[in-house]
Amino acid sequence: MLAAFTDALIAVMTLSNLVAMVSGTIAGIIIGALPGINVTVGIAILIPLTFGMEPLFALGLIAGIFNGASYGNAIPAILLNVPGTPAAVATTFDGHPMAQKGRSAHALRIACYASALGAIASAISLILIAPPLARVTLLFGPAEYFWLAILGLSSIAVLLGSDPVKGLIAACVGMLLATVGIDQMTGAMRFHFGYWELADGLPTVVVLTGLFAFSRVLMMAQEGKLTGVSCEDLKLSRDKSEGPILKGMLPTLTRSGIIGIIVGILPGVGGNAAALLAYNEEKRVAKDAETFGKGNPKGVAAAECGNSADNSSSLIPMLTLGIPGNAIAAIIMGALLVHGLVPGPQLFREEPLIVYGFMIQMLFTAAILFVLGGMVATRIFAQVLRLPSVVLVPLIVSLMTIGIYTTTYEIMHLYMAIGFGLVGYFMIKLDFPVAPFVLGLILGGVAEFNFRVAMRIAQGDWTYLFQNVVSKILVALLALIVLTALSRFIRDLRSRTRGTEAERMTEE
Amino acid sequence: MTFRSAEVMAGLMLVAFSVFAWREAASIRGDAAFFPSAIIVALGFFSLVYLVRSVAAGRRTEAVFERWWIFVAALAISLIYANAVAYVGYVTSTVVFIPVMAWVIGFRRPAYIAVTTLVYLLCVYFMFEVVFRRPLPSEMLLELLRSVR
Repeated sequence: MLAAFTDALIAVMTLSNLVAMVSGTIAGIIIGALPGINVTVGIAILIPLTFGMEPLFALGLIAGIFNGASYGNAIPAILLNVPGTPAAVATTFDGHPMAQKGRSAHALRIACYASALGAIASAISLILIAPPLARVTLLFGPAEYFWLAILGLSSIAVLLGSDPVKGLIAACVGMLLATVGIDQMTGAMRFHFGYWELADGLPTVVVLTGLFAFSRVLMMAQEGKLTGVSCEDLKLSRDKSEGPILKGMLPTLTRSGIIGIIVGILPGVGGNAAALLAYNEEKRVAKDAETFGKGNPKGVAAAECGNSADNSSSLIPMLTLGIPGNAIAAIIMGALLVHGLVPGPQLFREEPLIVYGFMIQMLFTAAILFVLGGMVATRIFAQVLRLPSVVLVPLIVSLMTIGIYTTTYEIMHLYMAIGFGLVGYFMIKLDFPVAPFVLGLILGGVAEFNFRVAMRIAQGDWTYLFQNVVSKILVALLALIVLTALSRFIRDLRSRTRGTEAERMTEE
Repeated sequence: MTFRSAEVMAGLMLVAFSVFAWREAASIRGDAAFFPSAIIVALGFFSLVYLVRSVAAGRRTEAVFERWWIFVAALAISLIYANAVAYVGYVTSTVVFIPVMAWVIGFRRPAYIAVTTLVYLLCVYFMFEVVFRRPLPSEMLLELLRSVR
């Protein structure tokens, strides 16, 4: 492992890869700060553009965007009280009150350094946990992989969003679309409707780009925000604080970092939960709890550190098992697949340079945030808020179009991207979570393949799926998730029935 | 359209999609049909639950699709642009597309748009042609001019 790690470190330190990491981080901060778009949209647009690039160069850009956007989200949250993503909600609690008191620059620097430290801790956890875990997963057979895929998918479908039924529908549609094309085991064509372009299945990158980027563009066009933020609102006060920015915050950062890392590994929980949990924990243990929500710098540090500490750790299940735990991990998995890299334990054996290189890039891009957290850079990044979001609409469509088209030069792929953009648009409008759909598309093939291999090994004996200890644990976890979903569904149904009765009584 | 009626419509479409997918899956032979059929059954079940719940739900009267004409226009322009990139060329199509799209969705500052289009195209050209050596689709106008010469 050490030799592979050293080789990867040397590979990452080339000039082109360093340029990719720095420009990715800058792009990430801008994407995070920009109104209307987020890290998933940013990476979704980037993936088709990375086709043909050196894998480490492309992954350096992605790592930079991922870590950079975590801090970028804090800029509108602190200056305008507008969280660009749910993960930045907790940052507004104390960040904006600090800005109102004329301490916006101090709040932004705390956010930046806390983000950087959280992301560094997360990258270290990825480097330490992923390789041994990958070795353990080599012992997994098809039955375990089948249950793991179903468990990953169910947890996302049920735990993400407020409505398990919608999550499950999205997951089923995604899994069904994963069966389009030639069946790997029998060679039978499935759901191709006479289009032989579909023989290889739906191109994951095209679907991801359409689903995340084009749907967002349609939303932005409809929202029609014609003006950006005025210069007055973006005036940063001078940071008058003395001494180190994070002085006395080590316990805060340690607690928040650990919470973020654990939450990141869990499927379907996400950065917003990490930030909120870290914030609440900080408030719970604080002696000055009453100052939280009124501009306590520890509140900003806890939220930002927790939010960023979930970044790299959320990639652990994807890199070691090939099971992404959230939408961003699924998109990054799509990026790996574009370069012919199939995540899972075999990736550590076959492509150690790439996989260790990517983990080091996650660490480096987090460290780059320290350099970019200076006041000059922060002032520049804040200026992107002046951009009217509608200007981005034609630019994103154009970038998405040329990225997809120059990958294969097939116009069919452009139609597909637009089609899936429409699907994503309607899903957002009707409160369907998009992540289970994407994970269904990626994990559907994994689940089916391993299920059928298991059945062939067992010659059709279903009990084979439940024989191994690991399988039994996974089935027990699955049962727990199903029960959780069921109880939520019944509670939801009761509250809806009560609501309808109350409406009727009011009308009467 | 209210949120409730949109949900009912989505429920109906999902049930119809499940029936259609089931019929398609029936034509798949052997082992290959088992997994998609199982998913379709689950999809059909959850879609029915969703539909029944949407019909029985209280009235959510908030509008779902505001400014729908903008949505239709943006979609139509994007489709035309996708075709134009393939047949007319990237630069020519983009020079027309960015101002038209911006104008249609309400952004009407010509100088701002002109500068944005120019800077954007220069960046894309530099990244694709110079840095990554990934050829942009050929320009129909240039081809025509060459053939005239």
